[in-house]
Amino acid sequence: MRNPMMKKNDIIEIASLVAVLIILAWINYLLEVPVIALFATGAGIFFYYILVHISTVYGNASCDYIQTGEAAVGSFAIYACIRFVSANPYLVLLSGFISLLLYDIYLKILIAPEKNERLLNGILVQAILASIFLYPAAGGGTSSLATLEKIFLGFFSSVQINYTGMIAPLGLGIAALSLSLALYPELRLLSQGAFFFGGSRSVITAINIGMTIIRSLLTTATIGFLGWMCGFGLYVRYLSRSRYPGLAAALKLYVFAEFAIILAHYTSPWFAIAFSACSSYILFLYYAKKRKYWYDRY
Amino acid sequence: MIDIKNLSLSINGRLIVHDITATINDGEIIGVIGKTGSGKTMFLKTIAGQIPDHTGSISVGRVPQTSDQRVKSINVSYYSRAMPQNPDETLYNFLLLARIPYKKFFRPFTDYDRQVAEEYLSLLNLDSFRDEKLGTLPDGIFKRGMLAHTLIRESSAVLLDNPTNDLDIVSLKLLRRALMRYVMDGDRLVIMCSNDINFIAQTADTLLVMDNGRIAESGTADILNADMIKTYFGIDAIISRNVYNGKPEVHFFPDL
Repeated sequence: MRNPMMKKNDIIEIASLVAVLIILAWINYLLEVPVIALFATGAGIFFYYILVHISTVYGNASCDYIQTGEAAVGSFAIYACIRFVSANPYLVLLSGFISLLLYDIYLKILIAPEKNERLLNGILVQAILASIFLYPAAGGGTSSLATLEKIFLGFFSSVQINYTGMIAPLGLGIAALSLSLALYPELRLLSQGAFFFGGSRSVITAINIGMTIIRSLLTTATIGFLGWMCGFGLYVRYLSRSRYPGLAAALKLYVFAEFAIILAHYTSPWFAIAFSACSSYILFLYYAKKRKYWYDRY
Repeated sequence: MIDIKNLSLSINGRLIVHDITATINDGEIIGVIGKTGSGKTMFLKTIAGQIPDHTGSISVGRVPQTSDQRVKSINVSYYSRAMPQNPDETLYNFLLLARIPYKKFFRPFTDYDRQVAEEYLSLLNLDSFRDEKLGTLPDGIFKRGMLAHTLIRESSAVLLDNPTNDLDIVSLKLLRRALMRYVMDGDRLVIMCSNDINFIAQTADTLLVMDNGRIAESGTADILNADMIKTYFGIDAIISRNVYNGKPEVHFFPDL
């Protein structure tokens, strides 16, 4: 039997989160963070929330985008595009998207790692990319470091794109969310495997390709707007005991992102980035410890 | 109804199912027995449409085998050792997902879908586990959940490949009750193969004995006798009668 107090508790939790969020956003406003940047962070949270939602419905995800190495790959592609091609936001998005699509194909088709291997693969990819581009970036002087800082904080939040620039990606996000909500049961059944889904191989392949493209687009938008500032949405979502886990998780992530902006202001952006990345790994380890299946099937 | 005509299946040049012709009527529970490698599982898989490279014809519910997956799922539901891959799904939600072939795209599940899921939760005594995640269910309960998932689809034909594996006596009793209930209205049928000959003998209306890909014998449970067991399984056994329903029970001689 459900606890009748649950509903009241949920309302209190969500109201508290909204209140904290307003306070933090207000502090950021007083710290002269541009309003468009706050909106861009909100857009990032929105994309990230959809990514988390899709990951919980489709794909049986256990690693978030930092742990999988997607954040490193996307950041690398964005940096390479800005440094060697152009800082045009659409080109930046395109480069991020193509690299993440290729990385997803590499992950899913070429190596198809097991749960634990996924984490190791992510760490390896991060180490390789760090050794490839951090040294030349540091050698490139302060301008390169400033570019990197912007990318890690969320490129589009930092470069202050205009409101109209957000419309296309937001439209995409709304479409992806609507589609995933409308096909929620079908995607959940597909996540149980082809045997249970029962569709023909061509249908399953088409859905998998479509979902890979949507996921890559969302990850690109998340990295573009949010950088490395929130890499634990999956665990917040899984650990939530709320009756509205999606909404509660999205608000918690938004609160964290606003807090990280304040942290970056009072300490340094790199400290905030490190704090966020560490939080991501700590929550990952906590969740991995807590997520125990008692029987030997999984 | 399932109508099978001259069904044969070869894999790598080896004949696995050999020229089977049979008609299985609605309202029946068919038990397929035979020693390991006799072709039971392949026979079921072929009927389920899992192996298309066969010769002969199979029609289920007067509809020939179709490539339309939705129609196929409504016609035939196949239970095997396949494992659901997402352990975070709750049992109830997983069971409800079995109703997807009836669900229209972009529309929610109907009240009837939920009612059927509830009914099988209750029938297989799974109510107290409904909100548990698949990854945390005990083995026997998990198996029962998988069986419920197969039955909830309410297909014209349910094919069960070794459903008795890992089931305790409580689960066996519940499964038997659920299968009886499934065919009770006379518009659906069940074919199951199992290595548990006694469960088959107690549950099935008709037995098919498979040997080297052929149906060697068929009939009611009364065809089970010591000679038959010796012929098809190569072991000595004695047959007694169940005190409750008089159906045969097979006992093996313990090794001395």
